Amino acid sequence: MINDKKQKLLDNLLLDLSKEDIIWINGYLSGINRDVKLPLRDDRNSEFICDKLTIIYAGETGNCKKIANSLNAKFKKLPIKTKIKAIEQYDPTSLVKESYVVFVTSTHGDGELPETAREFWSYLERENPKLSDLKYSILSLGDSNYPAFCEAGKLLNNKFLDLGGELLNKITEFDLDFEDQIEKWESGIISLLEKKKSNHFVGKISNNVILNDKGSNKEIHHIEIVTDAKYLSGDSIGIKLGNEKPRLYSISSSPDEHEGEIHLTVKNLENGLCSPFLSDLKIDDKLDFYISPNNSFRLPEENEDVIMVSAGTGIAPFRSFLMQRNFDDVSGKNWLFFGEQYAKKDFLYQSELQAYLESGLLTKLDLAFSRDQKEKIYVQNKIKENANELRKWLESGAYFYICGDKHGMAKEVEKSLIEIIGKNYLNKMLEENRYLKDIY
Amino acid sequence: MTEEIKKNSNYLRGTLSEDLNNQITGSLTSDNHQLIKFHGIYEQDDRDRRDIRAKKKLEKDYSFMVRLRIAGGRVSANQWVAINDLVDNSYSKSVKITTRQTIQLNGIIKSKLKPSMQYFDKYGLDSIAACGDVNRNVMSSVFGNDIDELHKLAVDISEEFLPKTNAYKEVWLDGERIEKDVEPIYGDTYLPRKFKIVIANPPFNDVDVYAHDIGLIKIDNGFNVIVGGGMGMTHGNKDTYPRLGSLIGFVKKEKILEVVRQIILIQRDHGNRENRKQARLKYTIDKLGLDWFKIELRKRLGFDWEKEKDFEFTKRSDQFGFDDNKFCLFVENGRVLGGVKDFLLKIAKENLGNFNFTNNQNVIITDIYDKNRFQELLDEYSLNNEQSKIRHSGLACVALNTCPLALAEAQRYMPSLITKIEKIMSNHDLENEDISIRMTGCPNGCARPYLAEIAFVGTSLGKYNMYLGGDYLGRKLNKLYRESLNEEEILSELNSLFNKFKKERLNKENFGKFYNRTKSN
Repeated sequence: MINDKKQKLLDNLLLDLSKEDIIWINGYLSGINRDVKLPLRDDRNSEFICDKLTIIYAGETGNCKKIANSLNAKFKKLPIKTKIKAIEQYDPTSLVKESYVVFVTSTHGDGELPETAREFWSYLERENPKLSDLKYSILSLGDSNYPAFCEAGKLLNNKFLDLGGELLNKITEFDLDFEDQIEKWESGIISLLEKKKSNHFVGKISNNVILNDKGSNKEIHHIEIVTDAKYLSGDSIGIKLGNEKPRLYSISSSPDEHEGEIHLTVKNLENGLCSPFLSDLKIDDKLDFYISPNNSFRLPEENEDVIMVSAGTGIAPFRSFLMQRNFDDVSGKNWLFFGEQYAKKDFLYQSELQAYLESGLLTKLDLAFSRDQKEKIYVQNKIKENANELRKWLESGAYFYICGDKHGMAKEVEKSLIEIIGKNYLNKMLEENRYLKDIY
Repeated sequence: MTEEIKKNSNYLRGTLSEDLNNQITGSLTSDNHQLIKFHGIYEQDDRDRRDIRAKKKLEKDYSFMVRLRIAGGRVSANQWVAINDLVDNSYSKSVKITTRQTIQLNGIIKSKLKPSMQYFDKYGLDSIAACGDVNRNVMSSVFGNDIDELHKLAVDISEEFLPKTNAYKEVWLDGERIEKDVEPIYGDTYLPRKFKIVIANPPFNDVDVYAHDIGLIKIDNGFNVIVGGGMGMTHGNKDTYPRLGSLIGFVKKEKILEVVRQIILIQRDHGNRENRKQARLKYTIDKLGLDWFKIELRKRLGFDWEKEKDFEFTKRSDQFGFDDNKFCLFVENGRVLGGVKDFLLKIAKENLGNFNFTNNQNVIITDIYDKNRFQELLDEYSLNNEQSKIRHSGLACVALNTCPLALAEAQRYMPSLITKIEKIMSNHDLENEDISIRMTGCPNGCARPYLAEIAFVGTSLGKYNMYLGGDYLGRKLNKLYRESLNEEEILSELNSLFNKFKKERLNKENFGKFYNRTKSN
């Protein structure tokens, strides 16, 4: 929880941000939580702008060759085929057919290209070939003790620009002590070729059904989206309508169990902006969204036990968890607490949960339907009822997850939990990343 | 299977209490489905809503039907208000007057079940043994003289043969748990199958006296005793059949309870416990012989009975309208809805009279102390009993959408079919004719179809087997006439039958009698 002043600052900041900004910040904030030992997988959704690359090096001492080879090795694991050539062995007439080239050159004399590049250079001077397809990057080596430091790179660049080429990034200059800079330069080249991570997806609606039965006070939609967007259990999707702040919705499907689909569990709020829009979506409608990773709300290792506490649409990530754990056939136990108003009308995903109880995936399912009896019963009451068993689970290392309303449910659940295990133990769980919240 | 369940149930307790607290499902688990019937409750699901619930990832739309035990069918105004309130407060979806002279409330969800049962108890009502392999609700005639005496006997029989287990109190009324139960009459496996008793009052056969395990016919200072009647059968199973009860003789009223007891005990000891489809008393008697049965009964009684006395039935349908300070009101297929519901509540709230359910799913308001006010209310709600005779004497079971056995519609469909039949009858100038027409959604016979002059027994959605040849007074079983007819075929058959009936009937011959006289073979 942050105070109102901070909340306002944050809101103002969010108003000015683009989707990409928000995605970046989301990742940044997740990263701040340094102890996270949970899986980070950032190559989800990444692709490259080319499938071929030529590396040409011009040098005399062997430094350029060494650097070029090192770069070449980096591409072994990537879906880009490389060709590596010393400049004296490169047929300059091929240049017109090149599209992506990395040049590594040293500087000699009074800012000249090395001797090995003589023929290459004179071809350019003589023929003036049209290099309109050439996109290139230049690494220039030199010695800052000389006035014409790294001039060779500039020379090459000016020539290529004249002939219609396109420089992909600022010329990189290496002084004599370049060893430490190689790796950074290499990953710079790779990310240069990486498609600007487009985290923007257009999905197609394949199902939209109200989970509540007639007579309910709620209208919670289960929405299925066909998409090739990649995600992990725990992630949300962001949806931005017009100039509004984007809204995040926890994904309720599992990336493996529901390959090619994203499911959402959305409560239609009367005065909401995004939820009525989502609720109205018809089959085959298109939906623009982005993936918002939530690295601080991930499943633990397969052998770990998991306790999940939710009310209402808070069940969304836990449906994803359960389906993923079912797919992975985990050995860890799973215990779900769920609260709503009426069992008959509001038991979200009832038939699926019943099947998981029967199959044994769900070890325990504790329910709190507040309005099925005279006295109101909530999940926090169920947690207290199960104090002994809960303590046992936690003491044997179980992870504790909460998802739902931060003001009501999450607060009360935390209070009940402290009553059972004490504040110190809760802090220990926090330190061990065993107490995880996705609240809103 | 059911025998095992009964034996292992610790006198009908099972794990019902645990199941009631289980919120994961609105249903019951395993054996408790069977056991809860002995408490007068059926688990059902709304079959119309299975698809939509599945799409919503919800389990079936489970709820419970509670059938009250009201021997002789009488409730006070006060009790009626209580019953009505349960519907008005959304605990139950509807009230229906059954073909066994009681009422059933359906659509009670699990979380509301125990509160409902406690509510009934508060008003002196219960549902013990309204279903299950025990003596069911005892019916008695509501027309003629001496009906108070018959009603009292119905109540006495019901009380005498109630299960004595404390389970009902423990499960529903938070009664204190007792360690050791006994069932002096039934034992721990109860009866092999349901057991039905009725009391008729000639000349009225409103209880369909031949259709039950025991039928008592009140004559002078005692009863003619009929045994082994029963309706249920299974399509395509030749070993199952409806059977008319057999008249064995006359018993003086002081001894009647003992005779009933010994008949029940014979069935307890000799009924088939291997095959539920062969377990009713009618099969026991047919297997061992009526002579054997009489010898066994005599042996157990230690005394003999008299030769049967003469009697005559002339009426089976309800006698609608005023009779002194009573008024018999038509309730189509027993469904207490709309104007009828509002009217009955008004009567009860103004304490204008009490209620006696009839054996044909209607209601008699008794003890009317202000007939003018009563008439005023009848007018206000436009209740005039002016429906056709065939509508008045029709019977239909519940069937879809809640009965799990139903193969076809019955109570929801019969009214519209009757309208079409009325039209055909009118075309043949037969609109004032009384013909008993009954419809059930399956062959189990809840609306006693095999004693109707014309019966429709569901075989699949929209299709019915048609039965003809029953008589107007319920003394003769009908026979299968045509198989699996749709509505058009039904109406076409009836059109030719009525055409012939109009032309060839003798004097005031009833339809059933006419059909039996003129049928080709």
